[in-house]
Amino acid sequence: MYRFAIALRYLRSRKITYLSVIGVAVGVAALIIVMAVMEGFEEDFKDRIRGMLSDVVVRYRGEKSFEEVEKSILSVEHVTAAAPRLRGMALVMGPGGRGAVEIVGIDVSKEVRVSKLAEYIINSRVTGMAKDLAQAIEALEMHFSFRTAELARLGLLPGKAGERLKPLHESLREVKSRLSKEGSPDLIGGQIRDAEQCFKTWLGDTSSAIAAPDARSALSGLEEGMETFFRARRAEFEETRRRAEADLARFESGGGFDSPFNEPLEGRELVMGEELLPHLRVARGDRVRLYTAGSKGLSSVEDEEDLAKSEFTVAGTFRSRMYKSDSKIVFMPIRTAQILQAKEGMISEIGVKVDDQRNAEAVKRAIKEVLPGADAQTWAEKRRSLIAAINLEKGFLSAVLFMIIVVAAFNMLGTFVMMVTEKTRDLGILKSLGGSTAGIASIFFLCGVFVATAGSAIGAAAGLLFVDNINEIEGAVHSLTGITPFPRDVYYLDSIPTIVNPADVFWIVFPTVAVSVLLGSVFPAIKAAMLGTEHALRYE
Amino acid sequence: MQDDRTILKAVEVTKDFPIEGGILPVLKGVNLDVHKGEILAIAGKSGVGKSTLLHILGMLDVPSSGSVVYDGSDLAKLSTAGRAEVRSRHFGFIFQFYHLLPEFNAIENVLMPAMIGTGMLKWFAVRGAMRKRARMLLEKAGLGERLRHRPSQLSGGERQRVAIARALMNEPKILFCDEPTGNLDSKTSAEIVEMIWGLNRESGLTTIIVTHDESIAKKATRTARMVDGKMVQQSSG
Repeated sequence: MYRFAIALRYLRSRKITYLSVIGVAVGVAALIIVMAVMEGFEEDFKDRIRGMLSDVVVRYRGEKSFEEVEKSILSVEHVTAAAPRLRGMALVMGPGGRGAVEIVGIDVSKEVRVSKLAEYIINSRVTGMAKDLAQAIEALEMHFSFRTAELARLGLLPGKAGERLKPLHESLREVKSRLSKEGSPDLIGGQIRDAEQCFKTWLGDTSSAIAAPDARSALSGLEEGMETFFRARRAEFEETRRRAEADLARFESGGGFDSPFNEPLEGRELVMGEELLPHLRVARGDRVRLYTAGSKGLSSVEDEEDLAKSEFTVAGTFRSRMYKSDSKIVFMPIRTAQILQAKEGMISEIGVKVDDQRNAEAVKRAIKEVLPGADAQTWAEKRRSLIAAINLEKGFLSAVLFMIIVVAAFNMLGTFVMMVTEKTRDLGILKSLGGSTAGIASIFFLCGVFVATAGSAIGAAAGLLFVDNINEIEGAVHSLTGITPFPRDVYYLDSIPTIVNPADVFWIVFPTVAVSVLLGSVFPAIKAAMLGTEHALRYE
Repeated sequence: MQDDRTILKAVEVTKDFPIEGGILPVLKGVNLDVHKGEILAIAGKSGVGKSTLLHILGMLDVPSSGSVVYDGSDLAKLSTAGRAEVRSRHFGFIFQFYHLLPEFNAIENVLMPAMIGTGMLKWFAVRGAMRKRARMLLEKAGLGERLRHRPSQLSGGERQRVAIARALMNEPKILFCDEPTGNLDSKTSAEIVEMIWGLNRESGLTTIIVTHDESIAKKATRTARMVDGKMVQQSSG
C-alpha cells in the first residue's frame, strides 16, 4: 500500500512528471488520430476501387454462352447480381483535344446493380450543378459591383466603391471556393443559403451607411434582383435534388431501369468520366468521335461515311472520385462495344455483386467450382498491389509515430533516474521503517505505471475527441490562418474521413504502456534497489 | 556469556568500507550485549564507528564479518526481505536529522511504518484503527494540533517528536536512537531525552542510544564506550 501512496505523492509533488504524462499523451493521441484518418482514407479508397469494379470479377474463356455463364453465377449462394462487360481501348476526339480511353461496354440495367455507376452519375450531376452555381453567384457579384461603382460615380455612395465592395467579395470567396470543390446535395443547399446571407448582410450594411433616397431605391432594386436570383437557384437545386433522390430510390429498389437517370445509353450514346469533358472541351449532349482498332468499318478515317458513323453523343458523365477512372473510362452499350471492336457476342468479364463483403472470398471459390475454366478474383485481389502499398504505408507511419512514445519513455527514464538520486535519503528512511528492497524498487515501477496509464488515458481521450471533431478543427484552422489543411478537390472528399477501430486503440495503448513502463521505469527501479542507503541516513 | 536478559547481541562484528586504493576498517571486532528493558548508551567521539554499529545492530547494514543475534536467531542468515520484516515488526529508529518524509504530513509519516508492514488489502481493513493509534501517539508527543503539518512546517523538536511517534507506531521491541539530540538546543534536547526515558519507564522499551553527549550517557542503564572501532569499556550507569 505504501508503494502506491509514495509513488502517487512523489509524482504529484513534481511538475516535471506532468511533462512525462504529456509526452506519452501526445504520442498516443498522434497515433490514434493518424490511424483513424488512415483507416478512414483507406476505407474510402477501397470503396472507390470497389465501386468501379464490383465485388468479384469473373473471366471466362469457355464454350458456354454468356446466358449460361450468367445463370450458373447467379445460382451461387450470396450472389445478388451479375453484369457483363467488354473492355477495349479507343481514341476519343473532341473539338478541343483527343485522348486514349478505355471503353467499357455494359448492360446498363445490369451494371448499376453490381457497381456504383448510378451513384457516380448522380454525383457528377450534383457536382456539375455546384460548379454552375458558383459561376452564377460570380455573375451576380459582378452585377453588384457594377451597380455599386455606378452609384459611387454618381456621388450617391460615400467613399470608394472598391473599399465598399471588399466585405462582399471576401465573404463570398469562401462560399465559392467551397462550391467549386465538392458537391453533395446537402452542401449545395447550405452554400446557397450562405451566399444569399452574404449579399443580404452587405446590402443591409450599405443601405444603413447612406442617406440619399435615390441610392436607397437603387439598392432596393438590387435586392429584388438578388431575391429573384436565389429563388430560381433554390428551385433549380430542389429539382436536381428531387431527381437525384428519385434516381437513387429507383436504383436501390433494384428495378425499373428502362431509362435510368434520364440518360438511356442506347446505340451511339456514351457516359464518360467527367474529367474527360474539359480535356476534350465538350459538354453533355455534344458529339465526340471514337476510333478503335480492329473494328469493322468504323475505324477508317478516309471514309466519310464511316467517319460519320463513329460519332457518339455524350449522354452523361460520371464521377467516381478516382482520377484515373474519371479521366480514362468511357461507358457504352455492350452491343455497340462489340460491334466497334468486332467482337460479336463476346464479353471480357462479368462483374458480380455479393450480398455481403465478407462472402466475397467464398463466392469466388464457389464460382470457380460451378464454372470450370473460369478465373474469379475479388476486387481486393484485382487491386492487390495498391492495397498492399496502403498497408505498408500505414505500418510504416505507425512505426515512425511510435518513436514519439519511445522518446516520451526516455523522458520518463530521465525524470525517474533524477528522482531516485534525489530521494536516496528517503529510500533509506523507508528501509529503516521496514521497507524491503523490492518494495522500494517497486515505488518507481509504479511511478512508471501511473505516468504511462495516465498519459495513455489522456492521449486516447484527446485523440478520440480530436478525431470526432476533425472537420470542425480543420475549418477553424482554415478560417484562422487561411491555410487549407485538407484540400477537398485534391482528395475528392467533402470531409476528412475517419474510422476509429477499437482494436487499433487497444493496440496503440497497450504497447505504449508496456514500452514506457519497461523503458522508463524498470531501470530507475533497479537503481533504487541497488542503491547503498547506509550513508544516506547519517548526514544531512 | 549467554544471558537470559540478552535480547540483541553483537559477536565479533567488523565492518570495512571500501575507499579509494583499499579498505577502511571502521569496526574491528565489536562484542556487545543488549539487555531487555535497559537503556544502553553507546558513547564515544565522532568517527569511532558508533553509528555504523547501530546500523548493523538495527540491520540497516550488514557486517563484514561476525554476527548479530536477535532473540536467539542469527540475523545474517535472513534474506533481505526477512531483515526488512524484522525491522518493520521489531525495530524502531530515531535519527539525528529526524528523517521525516517531506512529502507527507505528520500523521502520514507516523502511519508509514504501519502501511509498510501491512498488505494492501488488509490495510483498508485496519486503516481506521491505525489512524487512531497514530493520532494517539502524536497527541502523547504533544503534537495533537500539528497532525496535518508537513515536516517543513514543524520545528526541530517537533520533527523529532513526530519521528519518535513514527518509531513507536509498530510497537517495536527495540528503539534505536542515533544521536537523537545532536541537532537540537539544550532545552529541546532535554524534552526529547525525557520522552525517551519516559517510554522506557512506562513500558520497559529496550533502547539503544548512540551519543557523544556525556550527560545523556550518564543517565543510561549501561554505557558502552567505543574508541577507534573497538569497545573499550562497558559500565553500569
